[in-house]
Amino acid sequence: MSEILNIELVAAAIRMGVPLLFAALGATFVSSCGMMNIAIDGSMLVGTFVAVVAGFLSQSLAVGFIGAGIGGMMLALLIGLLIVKLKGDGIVVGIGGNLFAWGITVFILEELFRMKGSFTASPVPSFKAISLPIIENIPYLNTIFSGYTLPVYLSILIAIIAWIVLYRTPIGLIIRGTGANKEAVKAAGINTDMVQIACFAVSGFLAGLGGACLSIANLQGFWTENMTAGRGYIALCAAAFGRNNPKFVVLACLLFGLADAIGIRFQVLQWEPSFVLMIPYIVTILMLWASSKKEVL
Amino acid sequence: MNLFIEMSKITNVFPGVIANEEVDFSLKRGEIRALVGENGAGKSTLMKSLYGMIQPASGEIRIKGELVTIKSPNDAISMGIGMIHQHFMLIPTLTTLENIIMGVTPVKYGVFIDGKAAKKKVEQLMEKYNLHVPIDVLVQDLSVGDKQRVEILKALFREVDILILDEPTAILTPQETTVLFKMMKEWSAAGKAIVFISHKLREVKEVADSITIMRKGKITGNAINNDITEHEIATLMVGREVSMKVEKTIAVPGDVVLETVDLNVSDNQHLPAVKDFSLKVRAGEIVGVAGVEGNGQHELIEALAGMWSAKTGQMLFKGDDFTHRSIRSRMDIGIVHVPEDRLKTGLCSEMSLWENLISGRLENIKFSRGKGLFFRFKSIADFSKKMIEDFRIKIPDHNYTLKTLSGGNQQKVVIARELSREPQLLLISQPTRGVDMGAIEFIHKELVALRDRGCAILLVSADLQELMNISDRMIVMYEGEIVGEIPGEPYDENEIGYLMAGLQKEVAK
Repeated sequence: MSEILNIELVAAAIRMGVPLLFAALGATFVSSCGMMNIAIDGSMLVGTFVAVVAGFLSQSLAVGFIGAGIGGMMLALLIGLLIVKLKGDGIVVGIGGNLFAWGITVFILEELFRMKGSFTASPVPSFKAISLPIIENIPYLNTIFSGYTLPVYLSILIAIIAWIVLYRTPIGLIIRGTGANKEAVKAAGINTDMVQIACFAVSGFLAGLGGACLSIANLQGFWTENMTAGRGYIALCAAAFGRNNPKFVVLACLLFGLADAIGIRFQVLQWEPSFVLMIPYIVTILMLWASSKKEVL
Repeated sequence: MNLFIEMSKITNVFPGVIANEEVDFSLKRGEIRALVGENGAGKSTLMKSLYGMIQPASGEIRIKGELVTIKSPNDAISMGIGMIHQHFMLIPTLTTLENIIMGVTPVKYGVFIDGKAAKKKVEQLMEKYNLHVPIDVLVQDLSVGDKQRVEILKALFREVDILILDEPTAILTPQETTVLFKMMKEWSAAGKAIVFISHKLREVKEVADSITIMRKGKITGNAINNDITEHEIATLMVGREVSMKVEKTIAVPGDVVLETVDLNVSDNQHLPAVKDFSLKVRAGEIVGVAGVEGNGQHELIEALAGMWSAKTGQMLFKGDDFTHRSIRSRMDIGIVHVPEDRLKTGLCSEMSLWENLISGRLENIKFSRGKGLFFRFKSIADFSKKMIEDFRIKIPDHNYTLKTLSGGNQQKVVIARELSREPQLLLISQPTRGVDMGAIEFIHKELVALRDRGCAILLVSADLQELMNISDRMIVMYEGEIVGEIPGEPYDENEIGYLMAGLQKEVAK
């Protein structure tokens, strides 16, 4: 059992939780303004892909990472316009967006690189672990706080900014107001359609960054077909479970990251692999059930 | 410049309907102008085009002499026009302060909300206009009157000098209305101008300086308040003489039909909504239930109709307990329910007239063979035609869907369906909400006729005038309890108002 439950597990949970956190913060913005972006998963998938491809072509880590965000944002912007402006059904358009993301990534991979299913060229620039001075020499704390890639630290910063924007600025007041009663905000003289579309754009950007974490931070520049494996949906759950407050969303993502990490650890014990892969999703269902039963957080 | 607003030849067109046809409207500084007309006369549409929520198809708007196009509420606000909507445009989960500053928030360091400055400014405003509302409380916890004051503060915070009030008194007690009118007069004295949209003629006479009357999208009259009588206004609104009072004989109550014993009902938040409610309604009488909306009337009717279950207590129909019977079996014994919201629970507006008329009794031998297996179209058509005739429903034929009908005609469909069951007990909520005057008169007459045929009627309404017109006796509900019973006419509106506001102790003094 000590192979599974040790201090390394916390570090692994954080590592697995960070891609979710980016996407979940994105989902938080959309949910706060009263919409639902099912296509978070699609934006995330586009992010994983662009991070690897744009990084490989430009040989620049920054281009890969930022490009991932922009790629995710483009998809979300399209989804947002279809839902908000053209009054498309959120679920139908969102599912379409996710399938589109799956298709377009595989298509470009084949057309551009003549590769099937996964991206195997190298070198792809990727994030390296950063050791924090002083802390790296303290036992335990070094495992928990040091030795992560840049996006891990960045995600915490973005969570703080997201909280400030939503709860301490006029634009946050407008976003939350739009979510609670769109007509009222409109009557106060605000273009609520723009507010909602902007939230979609933000969600796509953050989800794209989350995707990049999967392919160029947690993995060192590797991409495979549908590599998010539904993590975008888990991010949506994390946002809902954290009641759209970044403070709680961080905790929710840690919990989901923990489930992910434990799943990977069980593979060491040579459990049935397909059962092990189920663990994060089972945890998702249990957590949502728990949160509906009672206000947990 | 003393003329604040000049609208000339405004035309608003919706698909298939001309809502406003070459309408002229003006408003002077310091004036309170009432805009009256039946529902669907085009009052709100006209004001929405002034507030930038609709773009008129043609016509000119001048604000303080300047020709303008108003593309959005934002434009209107920046030109000094504010609108208080009939349905509050508030966000219940935010505080008073947050609601007021939404969109025009004072900031510090360029990005952060400056809570202190905002609060100070709002408090000054409250002081100046004598509008006091708890400032850090969530709007959902405020009373209706307070919510309205928040709406007004929202407009004043945006420094408007023209206020459009869309039926502001619909949800207020008589006392709250008096306070509102006093404030309106103060504002107009301070140089602001007010448009007061209403169809309550008595209130219009009380507060307005001048009156504009609309009917079917056109202006049918403009007058200075003192030059016109209520009766004349009503005639201009409806286009024919209307009797404002229903003719009825004194009720001859028979046996007890409905009896409730210590009934307790919770609302959907599991909070007590109806408390120890005991009431008897006899055959051949109309019992009116007065009260500010949200004081348990809704839950009471839903529990009696079987749409919501009672927590404790008993409901008896001619002595038999029906507390735990299903909706269907209640209908079968003659308990009939006309719900308050025709679009939500009364009708299916996407479906045709005949489909709506037979809903709830498909297995009736008159409408189908084999207990609802096959329709008898011929006999359904005959029945529908009879209903159209008897209830004067304006519809081309019975295959038409209801969505294009006016509120009054839709309500007539609900009433036709339910009254044709020949109920022994009728539970009816807001029978004339959003219904034009002609139809109100008709529905009231039908209810009185039903009473004369020996039906027991429990009538819930937010319209006190309606209750006083047709109830044989009245009870007043406050926070789920009966706080007053008025045995019959004459009704004292002030007394009822006090009871509605929960001030019975003051009355006792």
